[in-house]
Amino acid sequence: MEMRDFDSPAKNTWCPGCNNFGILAAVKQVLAELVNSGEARPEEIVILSGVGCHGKISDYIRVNSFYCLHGRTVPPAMGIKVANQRLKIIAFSGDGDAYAEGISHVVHAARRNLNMTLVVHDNEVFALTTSQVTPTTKRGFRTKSAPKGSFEAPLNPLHLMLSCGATFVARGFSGDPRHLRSILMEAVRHRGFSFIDVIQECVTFNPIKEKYLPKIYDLNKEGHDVTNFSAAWERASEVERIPIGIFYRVERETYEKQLLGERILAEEKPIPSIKKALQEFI
Amino acid sequence: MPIDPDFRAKRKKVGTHSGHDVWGPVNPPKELGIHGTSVAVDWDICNGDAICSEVCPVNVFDMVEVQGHPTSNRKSDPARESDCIKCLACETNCPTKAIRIEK
Repeated sequence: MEMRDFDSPAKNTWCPGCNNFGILAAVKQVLAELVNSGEARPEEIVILSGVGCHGKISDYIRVNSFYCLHGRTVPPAMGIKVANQRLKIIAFSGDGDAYAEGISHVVHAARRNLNMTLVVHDNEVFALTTSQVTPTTKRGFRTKSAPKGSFEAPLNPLHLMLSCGATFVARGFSGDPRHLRSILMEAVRHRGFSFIDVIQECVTFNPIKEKYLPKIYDLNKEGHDVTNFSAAWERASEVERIPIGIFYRVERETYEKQLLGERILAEEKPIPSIKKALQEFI
Repeated sequence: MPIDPDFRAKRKKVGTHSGHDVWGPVNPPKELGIHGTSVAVDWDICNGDAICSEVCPVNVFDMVEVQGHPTSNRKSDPARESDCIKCLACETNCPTKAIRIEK
């Protein structure tokens, strides 16, 4: 398969210049590689997305997808994974979605080591609703909800995930789709909760690419030991330079293996017809 | 040196290729001109990186082989420029700034 086989007929409505296009391309390439390497069939891939500009990615990739409530990509992901462990789960979320509305779900998914990938489109602003502060908005940044500039200390998503027990913690940059593709591939192959915070600009409300670009470097090219928690924490603290790449990666028993062993619940209990299933709720 | 944003005013159409216009001067193999109008790729700047083709959500570009050009032997051809949705992913990601999308 080629990445083009994952194109959907849906009309793309992201802004001209939106960094989501770089992420979309990286994802399609990873999916094609997964299928070509025999790691997953197309029907075994499930993507989920929350509410925000990123959320439309569910419409733009031709695989099974689930469009979730605001901040709630993780609970349905958990349900899907528990029902059928064979499925590859990739969830997309925004910084508002994952770190404001849905932060508790993200914390517990990391703690439990649910075998899924969470990609956070982190543009430091609520963009779909035309610019309000999110938990990752930098101090002093002016938005419609903070006309004098945000005075809140921003959240460090990597520190959050490291402290919650995530077994794969990475940061990508939408301005480097090829690098993003390589860490996304590693994340999807990782057995356990893999997390990627993707720094991206919002071309309309937070154009940060030119400011960030000179500071960005690949920490995996500088001899970083991905199994060293303290080193990962130190790298994630850097602000003068902005490291991207894999910060931390270790193996730990996954949630679903501990819960189910090798059982595949979806095969034990055949799926009823949609009509019959819905009748229970009518 | 990025693609000239005013090439439509400054250059002349000298032919067509794969359904799109070619803007001169064209003196192969050293000088290949600009391919396309609404999606324009300056083949004298294009280094054949192909990131445009990778990030394009609607598959506008084909990579084509050329011989004897000083910059590269592979060029990005806007073969389906009418499919362009003006997302600017190619223009934004092009390492040599060889692409110009008509806004």
